[in-house]
Amino acid sequence: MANRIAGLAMALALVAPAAALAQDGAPRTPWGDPDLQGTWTNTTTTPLERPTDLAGKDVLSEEERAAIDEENAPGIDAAVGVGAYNNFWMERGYVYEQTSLVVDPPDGRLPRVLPKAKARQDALVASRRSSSYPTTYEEPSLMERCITRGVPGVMLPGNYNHNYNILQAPGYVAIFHEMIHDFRIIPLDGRPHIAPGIHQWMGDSRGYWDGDTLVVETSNFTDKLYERRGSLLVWGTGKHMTVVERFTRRGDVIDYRFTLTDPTTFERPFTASIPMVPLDEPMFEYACHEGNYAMANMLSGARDQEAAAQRTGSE
Amino acid sequence: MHKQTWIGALMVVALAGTAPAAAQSNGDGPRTSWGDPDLTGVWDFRTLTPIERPDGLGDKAVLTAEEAAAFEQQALQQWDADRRDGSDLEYGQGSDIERAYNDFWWDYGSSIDEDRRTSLIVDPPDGKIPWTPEGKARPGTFDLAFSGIITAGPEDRALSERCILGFNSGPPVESSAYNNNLQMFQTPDTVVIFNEMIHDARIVPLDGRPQLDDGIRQWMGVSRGRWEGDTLVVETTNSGLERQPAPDRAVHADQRGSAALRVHGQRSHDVHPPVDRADADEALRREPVRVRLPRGQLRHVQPAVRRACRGEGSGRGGIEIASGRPARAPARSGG
Repeated sequence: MANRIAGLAMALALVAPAAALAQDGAPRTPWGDPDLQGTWTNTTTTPLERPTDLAGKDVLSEEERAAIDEENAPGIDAAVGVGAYNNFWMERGYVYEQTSLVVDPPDGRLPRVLPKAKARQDALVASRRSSSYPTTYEEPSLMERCITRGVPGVMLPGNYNHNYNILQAPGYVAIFHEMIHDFRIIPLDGRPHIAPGIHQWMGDSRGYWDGDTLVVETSNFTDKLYERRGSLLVWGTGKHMTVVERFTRRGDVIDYRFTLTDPTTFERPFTASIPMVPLDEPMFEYACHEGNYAMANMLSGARDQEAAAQRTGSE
Repeated sequence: MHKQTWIGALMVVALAGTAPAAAQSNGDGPRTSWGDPDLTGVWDFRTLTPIERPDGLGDKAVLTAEEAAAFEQQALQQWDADRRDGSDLEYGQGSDIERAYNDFWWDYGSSIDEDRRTSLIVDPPDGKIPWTPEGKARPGTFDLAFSGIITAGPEDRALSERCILGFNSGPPVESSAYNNNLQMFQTPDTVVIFNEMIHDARIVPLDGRPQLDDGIRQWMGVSRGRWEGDTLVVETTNSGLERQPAPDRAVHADQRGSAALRVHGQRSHDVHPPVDRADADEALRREPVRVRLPRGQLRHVQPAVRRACRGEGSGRGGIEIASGRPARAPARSGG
């Protein structure tokens, strides 16, 4: 943990939200590509969107960051009731200097969601808040079902296991994502994407070097992909969504950014910046399904609640 | 990492002129730009050869060409799920509806191993898994899962049905019904074995790091690799497969054993000497088991997610699997 704090501090010192930094002396693979290899983490409590009370403020001072970290420290352990995991299981890290992961639009907020997608999002929210949720195993998120977090979901920090192992070979970059043991092999040889009619949970990635920056373009998503976050955002509709990721090594930090474009969901593309620092621990198997009684319990619990509501004649 | 990168840079200088993705061969097969045997690519391991030698063949290790042709015809007929006749198959009741997938979906291949072997197991010489009575009695046999045993919950079903672990993806790798494809990916200090079946990737470090603590169990175990000449040896321990129904996995490394996967980088179809025997897990097996899989190569640019195009590529390598405790002495050179 102390190493992660040091690494995060280094990340905060090196990465400016919108600056391009010098890349001299970056390590190289034996065949000459920039070396991004290693195990990395991007755990942080910085929210995806800038809080409304920080409107217009894109960076925090050291004092402000310290205050936020202190406020976040008690976490789940301070909650009343059974709740979910306690802090032993959480790995949220600390807050970045930037006030949001979204760096474009400049207000740090996601672009306006277009009406049709908004209706879909509202339906998801309504279903989650319904007293009969879940009625079927297909209603919980793909992550809860241990299927995938998709792209770029798998690169977003959250509660735990946001660790990555980047491997490189001539003509390829591979990324092993600890959650949910998803593995992407990204060819760099300029081959075309798979046919438009083929849709994959993790999409289909192709990469190339732009100077010392690895650019990964991903398309061919399934339209079943969405990310369960506080507002149950809908990332995209699959065939209309493309994600462009950029990995640039700056010392011992990877400046990672992605730009998501879906003209049927968002009125404009948006970009998030999530620095990655070295992980000084091994990555372990994230089996997900092992001991995953939650789905069965959620379904049976909801049926019990329905039955109880019927008995009392109220909802 | 930085030290290795620096050393790698010196090697690049010494080998000036070598293309980054060199397929330069020194006569024993292509090599990576850093000098390791090049195993990269997408490989298929489909075959009609059974894992164990069929009963009645005794010590007959190899079929004649005529016997092989007859065996293949019989196997293809037996596996033909598009038939609508009544049958005396164990699980076929005369209707193709009850035969699950039809032949469009199966991908066992259409031939047995090029050597015309009677089993994928090459050691013990009888081509059989050397079960002890206790090991044979463990839950997880084929009959348990497919003979109508009432199951109380999802954990009574096979790991492959629950999409937790592929039934052919290993370790160790075994030919099976479909998706018999894997992609190998190499770096100077790592080999990655990416299985199409349930998209599992095994990242195998080659830097000599120790295994994880014995108390840590993972579905695919923990793999460590090394080069022995031109052979990649992958030893896997810490498996979490104890007491799991695995009816379609005849060979697997349980928590007390290990699987040593030996991947032969040569493009020729050599016969390899047996590995040294080691002490076996007395509770489960009397002795280690060696399995040799044929391996073809798919089209170089074809991703593992698509069905293989059989017969493409030049030559065939071999994958040899020894299951049991790790050998205490190194194998003889070339194996």
